[in-house]
Amino acid sequence: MIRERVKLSKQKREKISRELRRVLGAKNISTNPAVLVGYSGSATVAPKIVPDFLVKPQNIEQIKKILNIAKKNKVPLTVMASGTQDAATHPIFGGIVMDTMGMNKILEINLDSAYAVIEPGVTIGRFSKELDKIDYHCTVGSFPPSISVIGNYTQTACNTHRSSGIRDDILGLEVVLPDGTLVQTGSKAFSATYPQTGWHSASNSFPDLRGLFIDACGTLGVITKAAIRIYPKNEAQAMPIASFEDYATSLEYMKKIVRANLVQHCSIWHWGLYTMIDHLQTFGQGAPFEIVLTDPWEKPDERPYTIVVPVMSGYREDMEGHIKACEKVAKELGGRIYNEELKEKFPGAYQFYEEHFIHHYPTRAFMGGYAEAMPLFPIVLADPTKVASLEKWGLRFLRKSPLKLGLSYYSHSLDQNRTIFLRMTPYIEATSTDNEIKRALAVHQKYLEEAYRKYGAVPIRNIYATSEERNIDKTGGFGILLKKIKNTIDPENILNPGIDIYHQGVR
Amino acid sequence: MALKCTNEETHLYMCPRCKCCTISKDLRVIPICPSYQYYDYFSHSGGGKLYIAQGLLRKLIDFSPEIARIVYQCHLCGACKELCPPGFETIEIFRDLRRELVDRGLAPLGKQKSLISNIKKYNNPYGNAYINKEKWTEGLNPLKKIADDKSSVIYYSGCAPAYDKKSAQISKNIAFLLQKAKVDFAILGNDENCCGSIPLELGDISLFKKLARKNIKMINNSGAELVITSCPHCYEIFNKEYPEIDSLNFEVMHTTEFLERQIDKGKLKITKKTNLVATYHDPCHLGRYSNVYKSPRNILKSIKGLKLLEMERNKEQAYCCGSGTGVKSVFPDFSQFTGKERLNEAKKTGAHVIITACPYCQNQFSELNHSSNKKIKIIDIHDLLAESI
Repeated sequence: MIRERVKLSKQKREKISRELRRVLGAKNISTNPAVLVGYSGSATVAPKIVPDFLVKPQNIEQIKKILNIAKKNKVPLTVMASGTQDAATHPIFGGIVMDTMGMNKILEINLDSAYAVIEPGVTIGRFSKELDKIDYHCTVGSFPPSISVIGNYTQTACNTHRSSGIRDDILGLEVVLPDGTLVQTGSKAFSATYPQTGWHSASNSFPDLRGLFIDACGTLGVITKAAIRIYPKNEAQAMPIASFEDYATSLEYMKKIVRANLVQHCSIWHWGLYTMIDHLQTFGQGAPFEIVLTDPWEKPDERPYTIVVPVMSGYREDMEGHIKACEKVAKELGGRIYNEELKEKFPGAYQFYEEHFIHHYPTRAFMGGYAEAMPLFPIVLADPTKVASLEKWGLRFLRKSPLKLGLSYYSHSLDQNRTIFLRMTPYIEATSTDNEIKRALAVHQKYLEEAYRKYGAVPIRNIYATSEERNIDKTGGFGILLKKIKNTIDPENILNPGIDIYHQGVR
Repeated sequence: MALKCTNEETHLYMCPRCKCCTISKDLRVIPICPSYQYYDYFSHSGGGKLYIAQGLLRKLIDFSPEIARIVYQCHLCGACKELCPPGFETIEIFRDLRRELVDRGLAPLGKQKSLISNIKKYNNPYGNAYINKEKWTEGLNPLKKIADDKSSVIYYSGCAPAYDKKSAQISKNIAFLLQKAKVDFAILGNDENCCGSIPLELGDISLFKKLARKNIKMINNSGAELVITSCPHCYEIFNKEYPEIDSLNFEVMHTTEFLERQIDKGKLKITKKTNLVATYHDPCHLGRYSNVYKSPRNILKSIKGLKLLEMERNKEQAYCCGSGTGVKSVFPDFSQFTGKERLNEAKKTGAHVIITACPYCQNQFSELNHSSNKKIKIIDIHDLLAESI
């Protein structure tokens, strides 16, 4: 079992290189450090590690052979599609990085069943452009156009990693296990015997194995295909944005309209954040640090403390009724519909919400960060009964840190408000020293621990192997079962061992 | 190593690998980075080269010929800088990288070395045969030289007219247009030094600074108040880079900006009509580097009968011609790939003519057009304007 960073001798490196070249040809493998360093990590504080090999397979057979080479030589293999943002696909133990962006076909678009079958290299931009032509859309989220659909749909951070409609977008998956077994989930599993069977059903009378590979950070198999749910662009769309002066009332409003089935998605935006988004959209770059620095519970002027952005689409007659209903509920709770004022005072923010939620355009807006500062990500799935208290406490706790922390947040309704995604967005200055970053991370960790302990929240992302924390050990029997599954599927711990989400005692 | 722009502070702004630097902004899937499109490795994108810089700063990788190849397999077209959401100063960082590689003897590469040695020996990148910078004035009435006669305006022709007939014709036409507009101007003639664009782009910063200081001093001493140039590379160097070296006692304009003004003032009257259906290619150093988009288009609008069709990738998102930064001399296949991509895009508009405002773009398109099955006419904007007067 791989338990630590692999150091390869020159001979072994050459041997593995030869074997990989035999499978891929010279063009789709690189050992050039200048190429490899591009796969050493992403924009997170996780350490950057230059892998030993980069491979770019073009089909499943090549993937199976590469997995075999990795197993035989006891070399880690980390799968990376676009490898954007999340540390899940950092090659922390070196070895082979498998870039799957070369497998980039849109294999099928099925309008009767409203799904598309795609490979990992299909990007959000290309996919949404194809769907545009037939008046359909996919869940776009906070994604720039150049990143992998599958990569980002399967690293969902608890199904939250998209904000234009947090839905269950994966209908089915095709995965190659470390031993070369090809697994297809849902109805497609039966294509092993009945080749005509399609991807129409996520379930198939057996346990739903999709979940095993979602948020698995590539540790249980290599995803080679996904059937993605797609959605029609309906006749009409609406986005009646309401404004409120406190988070608790915003939550109440969100709950009412979500559970009345008025909306497809709903989110709450703190004034600090819609101000930053306005700047970002207007000027194309992050807001100056001074904007971020204001106390989050004290607005600078009459702008609303929060805005609630619901998204709805359907028949025109429906929309008219839904808008009226939203107006009524907002008024009952002391709020008001804010669309015209938002357009006038924060046109960049309005444009962002419109492009994102109504037109489903991929966005570059978040890639530069909201502000000219380093963001931390204390994000949780919060218990609705306690989240308003968490917001109050969390803002004050994070703000009183000795570091200069800019602070705001946004919040999404998930599963009809059964849980609330709450992302606090503290920032530290870009010029902070390593020590200051460590202190900021310690504050960040304290916030999370309190959110879990006192407010019933749960984490949405795994923590990197270099951290002291081991989330899996806090999950009782769930964690025990997951470890057993990992040990069965990947006993040598070949697949992305460095992320160590199973806490196998790796160093 | 101290990369000027990539200091320890910016490690906090690590590139998220979003690859927004490789596709155009509004069009979602259209490639904009020739290096990434051709070589198909993240390392070749704007972001990828930032990772190389980070890797070197953090000693994850060492300087090597392999790194030099990747760093120089780039036209420095500036698209990545334009499109980068975090706003990385990619061009400045890449220039720094090249400087470091030159200082370590790993660059320039191959034939690029002779470009530098030619500038050092002959004051132009093309060598001994092209030493006569006044050659383009042959056949014209003698033009005023700044060394002999004061003038408030200097026309700086750049190196291209001395070695290339088409570029020489452009300069001839510019002289004609200036005279038509009754502009009192002078040239530097054989006193004209190379602007230093090539050394800057190839990483020989000390040569660039030497040329810059020389040029600034000469022009400051001449008493001229305005330098106009038709070469976008020279324009960008004078306008953006020289002020970092020393203070300028003169303004700088591109000839399209200057001629647009003459048209507006009524000093140049467009009398002839045309039925051209044309598209305009934004040169990288005039467009993205210098933000000059309107002036060439206004000139084209004023030409009667000309129908202008924009390419899908235009203005800030124009695709490079593939000629720049010494890439052609070392990676000719890559240079040709880039140029053909742009040429095909021009042809797709349905235009019969591609108009440009850069002698290097013009040369590149002309060479590639020559070997292409479906041809399109290549015209420089100054030539077109001169024909319309």
